[in-house]
Amino acid sequence: MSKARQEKFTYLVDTEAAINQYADMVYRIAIVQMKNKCDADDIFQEVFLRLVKYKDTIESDEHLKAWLIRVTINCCNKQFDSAWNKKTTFFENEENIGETYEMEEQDETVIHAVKELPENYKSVIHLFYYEEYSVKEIAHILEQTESTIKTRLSRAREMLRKYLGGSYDEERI
Amino acid sequence: MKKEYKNDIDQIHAPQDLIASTKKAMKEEELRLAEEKKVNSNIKSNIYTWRNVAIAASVCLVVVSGGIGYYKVNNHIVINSDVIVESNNFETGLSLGKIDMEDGTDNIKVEQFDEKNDLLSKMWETSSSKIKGKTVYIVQGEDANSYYGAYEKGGQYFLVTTKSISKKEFIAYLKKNL
Repeated sequence: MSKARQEKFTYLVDTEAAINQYADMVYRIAIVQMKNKCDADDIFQEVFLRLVKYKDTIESDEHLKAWLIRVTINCCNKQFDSAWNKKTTFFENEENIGETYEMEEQDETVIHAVKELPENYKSVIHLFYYEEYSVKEIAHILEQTESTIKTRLSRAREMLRKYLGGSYDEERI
Repeated sequence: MKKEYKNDIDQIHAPQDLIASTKKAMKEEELRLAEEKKVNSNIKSNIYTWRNVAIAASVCLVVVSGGIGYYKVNNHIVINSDVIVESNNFETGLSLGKIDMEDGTDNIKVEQFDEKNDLLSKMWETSSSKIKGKTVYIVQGEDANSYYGAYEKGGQYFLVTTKSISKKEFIAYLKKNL
């Protein structure tokens, strides 16, 4: 095995440290993507169990973060595709959601608007505006082309504009 | 919008009980994977050992079989006793072609022929033997210790006639001179 290849695989993932560091990040993505807290909880646990299984494939801290984001989004998409999920509607009201997420009650218009977007658009908006990844980085994480990400971002903004009304900043394209 | 969205998301935290239960599940999964890895490692080790044993046994079998086969193919003696060769053929010294005395012994005579005569033709009809990979036809004479051997070499036919020597001595002679 060459030295470069050896060095590539000497990064060891401390799974407990990983959950301590990235629990909120994973949970936030799951909450934005999913329609209810229960599914978000399931996704959260599934992501970290997969980390235990595949931790040997992680090469660096940056890779770990990107890996967790990608797996979270993939698990959410997989959940969406399940027939049960398609046929089920949920009755949680926004006040209860606020209490469960441990957040203060405040105007949730924007987050609500983002949650109403199609799945592919939610993840792009979240990664762009909250995690502050560039289009190129988002394309790499989601394994899509940059033009696809730009298109999704553009359409998502258009939909948000219609939903929210008024203007909002379009920086950081 | 960006600022507003960030503020909203900042308020969301993973519940502590969810984190705790997930950590517990992760530990259990780590133990399960470690056990699975250990079992797979043992299975692989056993398979590897048995595979090596099987390979070694196969090689031995092939080598031994090949050796036996080679020996059988190249050394296979059949003494035909159902062909009647009268002993006076030897005594009268029939002129059958070129005579070549071998080994300085009177008990063995070798004759060379350009083509098969009746005797040779008859001998060629018997079951053949193999000595050092060469085909030779061996017939026992009327006398217990007389033998005839016939073979072809370089387009010529050779007839070896013996008397008063044992089968073992005759075979040894053929092995030496074929």
